[in-house]
Amino acid sequence: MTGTDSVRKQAKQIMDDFMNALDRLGEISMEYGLERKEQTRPDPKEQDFPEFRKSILKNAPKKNNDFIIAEKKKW
Amino acid sequence: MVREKRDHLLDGKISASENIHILQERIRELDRNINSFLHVNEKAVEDAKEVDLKIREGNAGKLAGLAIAVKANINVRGLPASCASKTLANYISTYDADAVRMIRENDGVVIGIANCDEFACGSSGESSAFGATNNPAAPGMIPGGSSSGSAASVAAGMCDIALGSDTGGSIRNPASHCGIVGIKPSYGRVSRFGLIDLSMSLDQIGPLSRDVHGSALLLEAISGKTGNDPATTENEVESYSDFKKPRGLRIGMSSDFERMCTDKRIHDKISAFAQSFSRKTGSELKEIELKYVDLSVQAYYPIVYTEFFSGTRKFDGRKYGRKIEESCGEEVLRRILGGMEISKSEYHGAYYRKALAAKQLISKDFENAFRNTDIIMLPTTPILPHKIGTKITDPRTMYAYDAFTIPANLSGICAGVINIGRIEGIPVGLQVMAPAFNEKLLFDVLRECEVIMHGD
Repeated sequence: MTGTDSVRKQAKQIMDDFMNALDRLGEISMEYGLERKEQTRPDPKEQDFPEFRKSILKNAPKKNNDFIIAEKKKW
Repeated sequence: MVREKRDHLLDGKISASENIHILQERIRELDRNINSFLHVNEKAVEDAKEVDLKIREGNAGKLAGLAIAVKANINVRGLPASCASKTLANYISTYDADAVRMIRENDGVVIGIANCDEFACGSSGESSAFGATNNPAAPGMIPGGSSSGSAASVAAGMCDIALGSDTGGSIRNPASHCGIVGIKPSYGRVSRFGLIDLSMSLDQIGPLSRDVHGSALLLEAISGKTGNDPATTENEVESYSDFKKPRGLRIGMSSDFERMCTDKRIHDKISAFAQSFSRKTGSELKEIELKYVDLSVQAYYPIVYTEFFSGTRKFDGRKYGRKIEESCGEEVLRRILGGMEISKSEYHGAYYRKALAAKQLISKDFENAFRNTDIIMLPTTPILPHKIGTKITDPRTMYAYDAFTIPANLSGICAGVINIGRIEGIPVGLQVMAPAFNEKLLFDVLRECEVIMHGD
């Protein structure tokens, strides 16, 4: 088993143990809904940052001028 | 302390730029043994000089030249937001988080980026990709986490106040271990815009400071509704730093927490302090029942695993950083893989839904408790912090540190921590919980605790 497999297996075991503990609660009916005065959000404060485009592109691992380059299906 | 420092800044006894110089010198002197900062802001002195102009003109904001450390998972434009991970080691923020924007609007100065557990996944301060943080208040012991660097930098006097984030105790836990004040605001009190999320339904940004006044001032500055976070509310932002002496409170204490407290000395210390507080304030101690609170850890982690898995899909190495699964540490990987497992279609969302249902029950527990009490007092952690580097093979041992802090996140209420002494030389923090959006009462109580401990 690889390291990743063993971490995955351990994580699933932890989740199953926690779910078994929550079984004590039996069936619970959920209440949904959130009361709000307004249903749409107000316009956010815009930040004045002329260098934004340059800054975003600087973070890209691979780029060509204004294009971020990524290998298809790599992710 | 922050109150005196602010008075001196406004009176001109010390300039903002002098304040930054002194603190930067302190960082150079102390931080090699503490490792609380990942990045020191080279522009801080320049920013402080602008604040000095405003102080001289008499129109400086409420943070007037105070130096603020910001946790590495909060965006500060032009500074790294690495989340203490190799995944984002080279990522430079392109915008300010709302909390940072509001700090700047109130003339606070960002002095640097604070170390933390990787992607806020931890409670010890040991899982940063850039090295563990030491505890200045108990050297050799963990400072707690995940806001480890924020707490340590405050405790060591390398900044005036710090910003951290709290999803299941990540402000309160290190505040307790480092002997300082830390606040988890009510969910929706502070905008999460610009916080790189661990669990979007639980995260909150909050302050850490050496005195109650510092946290109160910072929370006043960063609270309020913003258009960028739809979870923020219209609730009034009161003057938290305008303290009133609390009198005649009903203080809830639960034998459930006593039973869950592994180190009984911690419970005894909390209990003794609560009795002292009730005598001095003419308050009443009341037993409360929290029927489901012992299932908080089991309710919390499925929510965190699921939401963290979802929130990390953007770290695919295309637009920025590296692919997270190929560059992260073990606990981050565990949460991603666990979240991926339980999000599979074959389970039809059963894990997440059951955890949300448990969250609702725990939330109702607190709603009911606050019908008959004003505040709840309890320990912050069930055990004292361990030595840095102690081998802990089962992650559930680490998860258990959060048993007393998680309930406040699940129920959305506010909670704060203040130091009430030491056991074996290690700081112990009292945790106080108050109803949602009652930060005013929380601060009044914490201030009174501070007076009881240290005088006026």
